[in-house]
Amino acid sequence: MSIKSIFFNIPAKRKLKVLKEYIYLLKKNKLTFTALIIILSLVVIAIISPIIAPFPYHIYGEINPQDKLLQPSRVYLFGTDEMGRDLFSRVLYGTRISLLASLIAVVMGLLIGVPLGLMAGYYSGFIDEIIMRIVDMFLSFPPLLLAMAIAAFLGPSLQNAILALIIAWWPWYTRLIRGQVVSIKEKEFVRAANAIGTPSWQIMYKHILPNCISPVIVQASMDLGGIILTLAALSFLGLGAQSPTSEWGLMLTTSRKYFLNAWWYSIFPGIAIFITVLSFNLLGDGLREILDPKTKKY
Amino acid sequence: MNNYFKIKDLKINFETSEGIKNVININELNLHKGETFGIVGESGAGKSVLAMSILRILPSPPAFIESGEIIFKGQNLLSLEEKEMQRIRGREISMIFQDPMSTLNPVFTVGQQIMNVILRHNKHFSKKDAKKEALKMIELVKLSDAKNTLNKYPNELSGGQRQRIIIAIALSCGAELLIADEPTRNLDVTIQAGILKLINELIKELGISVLFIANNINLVFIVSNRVGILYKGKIIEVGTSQDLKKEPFHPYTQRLLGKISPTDSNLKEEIKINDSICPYFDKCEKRIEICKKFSPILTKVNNSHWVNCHRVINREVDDESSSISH
Amino acid sequence: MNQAALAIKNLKKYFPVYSGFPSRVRDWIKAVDGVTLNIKKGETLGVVGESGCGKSTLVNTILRLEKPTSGEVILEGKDIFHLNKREMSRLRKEIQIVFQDPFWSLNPRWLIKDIVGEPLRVHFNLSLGEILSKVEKLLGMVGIPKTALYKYPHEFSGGERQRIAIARALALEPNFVILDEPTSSIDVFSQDQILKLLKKLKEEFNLTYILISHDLNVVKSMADKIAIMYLGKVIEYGPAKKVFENPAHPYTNALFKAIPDANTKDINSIIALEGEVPSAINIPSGCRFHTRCPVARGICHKEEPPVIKLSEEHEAACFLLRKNESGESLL
Repeated sequence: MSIKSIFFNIPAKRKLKVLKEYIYLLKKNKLTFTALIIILSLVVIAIISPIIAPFPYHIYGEINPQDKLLQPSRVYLFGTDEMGRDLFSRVLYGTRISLLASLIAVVMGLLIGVPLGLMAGYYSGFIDEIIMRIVDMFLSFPPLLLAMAIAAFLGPSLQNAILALIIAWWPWYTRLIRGQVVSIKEKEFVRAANAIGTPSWQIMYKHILPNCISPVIVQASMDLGGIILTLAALSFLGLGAQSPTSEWGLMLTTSRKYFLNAWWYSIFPGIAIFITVLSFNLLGDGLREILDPKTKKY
Repeated sequence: MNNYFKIKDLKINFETSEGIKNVININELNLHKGETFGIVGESGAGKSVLAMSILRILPSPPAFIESGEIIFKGQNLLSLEEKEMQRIRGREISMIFQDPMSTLNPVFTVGQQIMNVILRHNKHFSKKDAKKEALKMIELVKLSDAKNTLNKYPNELSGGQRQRIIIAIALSCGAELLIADEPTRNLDVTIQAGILKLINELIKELGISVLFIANNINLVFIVSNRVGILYKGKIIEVGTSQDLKKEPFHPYTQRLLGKISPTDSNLKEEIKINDSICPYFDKCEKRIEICKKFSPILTKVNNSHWVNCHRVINREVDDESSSISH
Repeated sequence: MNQAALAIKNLKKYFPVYSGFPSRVRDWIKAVDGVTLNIKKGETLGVVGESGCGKSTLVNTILRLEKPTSGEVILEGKDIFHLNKREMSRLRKEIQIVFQDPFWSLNPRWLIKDIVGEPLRVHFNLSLGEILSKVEKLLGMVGIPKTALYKYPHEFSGGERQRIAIARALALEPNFVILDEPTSSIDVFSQDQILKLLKKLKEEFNLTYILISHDLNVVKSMADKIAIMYLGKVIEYGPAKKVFENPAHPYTNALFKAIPDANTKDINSIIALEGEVPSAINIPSGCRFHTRCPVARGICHKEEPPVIKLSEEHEAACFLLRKNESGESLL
């Protein structure tokens, strides 16, 4: 009875208060708010794209050669490509591919990078040296080049491109987290947990991690944009999605041949990439502002 | 009439996520030339806000000076242009802070840091002149082996030595008013004593006036001529060190002096503090009925001793008791 | 019984300083350099010293957060560094600590109920409801209302956070509690309350305290015995009252006189020591205090002073205290 009331009443009130605070902060930062709205819309588009696309089969490869390279019109809102496929439907579906791919890449990157960073920072010594030297090796290459090399090695395909991105990206999270862990490790509450006898893994994941996750969240949200861009670049170079996938980068590279005659073919996928990446960047920026000043209490 | 340094009706507010909070509300604070005025306050009372507002280095937002005047040698500092303030900072009014490590730049030698300040205020000086001055200052703060110290980096010096360098920097351009914001807070006790003695000697040697801010009342007593007690942004008692030591009137002052033992507090009534009642009401063991009806104003206890408390009226005072008008 | 509940025997903890490539040990930081203390059950030992004196390392070693370089710590008859796993687990419950910094000693991202409940979760197999009710009781003991359970540390004042830290320390029903500067970061009202609370809890649970503080009023009000530390050694030890009234060691004297209190007349009454505390890597020869001692003699540079017994339980390590049969100083 009383325990139930504690579990249901008080937490609800508290959650509301915390939510109110976040909404207040979000409202203050209009740019972030706008970015968030855009991203949410993109997610919705990604989910329902096959349903709202006027020519859903064009997404998967059905060709329509008699309507090739038509200008944007009421039927074909973004025009058509060299196979006569509706660009609007394909760009819409591209949202799903890009968002999903970057989500997978970022999440997997975090799942690999964060635990390694925690261990390196917490245990120090030999483990720290090994992990960080491996990280250094990866980080000495520019991420796009590294991803290119790996994708080329694995063979061109969307899945391999995602794999390449995961491999190229995880070290950044390790380095980011390790630095935080090293400083948080010295705080009193970690000493207190040690004195209580809390096992190391609990200290790492329940004590230290919640306190250093903010920069990682910021970085990850900006990376969602960055990875979309890199994936598009890989596809552009022929190392990622292959025809007839409706991936934005692939559309861009194919559009090069027809650039002078069919401006719509380059522009619309380009704008799609631009808006998506920009929104994630703004979101990450805004998140950084929201998450950091919380510790500054006047 | 005091024309040297006077704070009048100063109100400073802070913008927080929970609305606007009043942080400083001082009716009157006088500092006479050549005197050391101590301010005692606990953390959160507003000491640093007050100190920074004098030199106008408060981050704004979130801080806003709503109203009031800070008059120094006849000029209202709050109405000056930034350019004029820059001339005053370091040259006429200087400040030292409590954390010498973060006040000193770790990538420059201490000599360079002193010289930088000297050169900024004395554009006609050559580097050699500045170096000579810097050496003089290092000796002034009683650091041995001045020549070698000049070339040391902050992390090669101990906490006490760094604080002496900070004092040297603050006084290097002939400032006549020094604001010391908890200068010994982070130092060991035996080192603290050395810094206090140094400040005392410098006051005698250079004839500077000092606004000394700390949270330890006994510490403030031994360096100051007059003392003001800061509570929640208000000066609730002011007088000479003697006055406050012998006859601390306000219950908060008494508590700071340890004259109220923990067992005396049996406060049961919970009342919300707002502007119309005494700010100390909820913690006061000696409160009376009138305390929750009106906020008291600074009232005279004797010629040099004023207190913000209703109980003064109950004392046997002669007709000369008057209150400071706003 | 008079057996020491906690006995520290010639404890030494040296930290290596590495340099060169490949790293090799170049120097040693002698943080704790031979400390012997006996604490009786129910006593409060005050440990006083400035930064660098070794009190933090001493505390960390007692808590088993550091392994000693040599020496022993015997808790209720057992050497705490030679225990099996089960005894180790029991030890955690015996001795707990309340830290100085009430902000960072509680995880800012955790709810109070989790912070105070952590010791219970780690050591016992209780249901969530049982833990919650125990936490409520603990908070009640320190005067924190149960509305605190779902709040975060930053919603409380320094004094309240310190009380929550005390509640956490008591969760495992320890016999020993180390209080590391419990009142230095909080306001004067809370200080009184915390001291009152600590005294009450001590009586109720027959606790033994090790109190570290630089605030002499706090030490005076709570400690039975006090130990003064300097550069890794205890240089004076005795019943609090005696040591305060008659500080025997020149450092103790300087330390007490450096702190202004209600009786300090003016700035000339406080004592400032020359020089700085030497580094723990280069401990001065002979008596480690001789570089700053106002009354150092020739022998002080050369030999380490023996511990001189001044009276029952009051002792200090200083050559000036050596007296012959007629009570005259041998120096």
